[in-house]
Amino acid sequence: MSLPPEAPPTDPASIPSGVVVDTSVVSAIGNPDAEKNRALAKLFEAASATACIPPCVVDEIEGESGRAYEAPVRVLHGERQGWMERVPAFTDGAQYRNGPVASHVADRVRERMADRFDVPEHEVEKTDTLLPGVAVQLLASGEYGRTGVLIKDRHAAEAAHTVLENTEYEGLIRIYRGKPFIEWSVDWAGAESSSDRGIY
Amino acid sequence: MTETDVERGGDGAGRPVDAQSVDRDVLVHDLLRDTTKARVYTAVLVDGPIQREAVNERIEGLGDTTIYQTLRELAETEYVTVDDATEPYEYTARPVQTHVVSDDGATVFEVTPTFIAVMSASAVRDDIELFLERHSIGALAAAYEATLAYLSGQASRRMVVEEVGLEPYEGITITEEVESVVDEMRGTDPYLADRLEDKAGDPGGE
Repeated sequence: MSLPPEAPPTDPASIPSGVVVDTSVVSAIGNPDAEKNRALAKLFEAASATACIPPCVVDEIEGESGRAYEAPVRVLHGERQGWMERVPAFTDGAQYRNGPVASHVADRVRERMADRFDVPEHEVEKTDTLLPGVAVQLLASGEYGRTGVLIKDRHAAEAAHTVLENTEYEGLIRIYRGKPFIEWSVDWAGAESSSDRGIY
Repeated sequence: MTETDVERGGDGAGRPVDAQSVDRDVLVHDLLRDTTKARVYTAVLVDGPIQREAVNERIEGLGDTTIYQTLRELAETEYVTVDDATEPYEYTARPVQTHVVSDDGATVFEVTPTFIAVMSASAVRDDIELFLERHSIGALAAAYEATLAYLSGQASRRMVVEEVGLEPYEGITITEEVESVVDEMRGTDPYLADRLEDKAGDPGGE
């Protein structure tokens, strides 16, 4: 049994300067005026970190349903505030030091998830496997000292974490689970309550 | 005395109609169709025993009269009881459970308090409301089941979304909404724990 993915940050300084953010997080934080969205913006600013949005996530956000749920404005607003940035897809051979190349990381994540759920590899959704590859690309670009992935799917997070541990990237790429990360950021931002809008 | 058709039962098999079961199903259908009823029921179930005033305070945007009327209607069913020994009265709810069956009698969906809570939450959460505008209650039931499959470790979030035929953004959004309702209902819905048991043995939840 592998170690669980990274615990939520303990302080803003522990957050890597480039964090690849999944669609699940853009969805979960709500509109620009929502508490979670504001908390995350405040946290990334304090951490001097960038929420990096790769093309696979942009495609989902700008798809028919993303537009219907007014998701694109969240990224536009984040970009205007300066904490979100669109980043390119990884190139297959992207590599930092002697670590595995980005495409190999994505392949390993796909294998691991297929194995975990006992399904053929093509049934594993691509975006989940691409995000850690983008984190490798960001590291390789030299623009970020450390990078991370933030995703609200414990299985995808666990697979990425397991693939990266015991490689050159251990300690350089952090995998965060969306829910505890967002909850922590709301607490950190000092909002009155971190609860959702209730159920009735 | 000869049995009437009604006493013999509508299925023609000679069984008497189980009036209680019919009433129970009718109430559950009401809860699915009437968001106000679902909200009041969910508030009483989660926070009961609860007085009418407290229900008024907790549910935003519904007038006192509407809430009182809804409480009275609910109290006529076996799912909500009113304790008139206390002053003011206290309301308590029991968990609903009914099965939607296909033509061949197989259960296709089990309606439980958590699904009623999702319907209730559609009044206060824009994304669930929009999902219901774009799709049907049946599609929400499918998304609900997909969320439970994800939470119980049977597949990733995107895999379950793909399986129910939703676009990634919408599927991710609705499963996240359902997941947060599930989190709120863990201590209340007695039918939930079984469904969340992780098939692969790690702890449930995101």
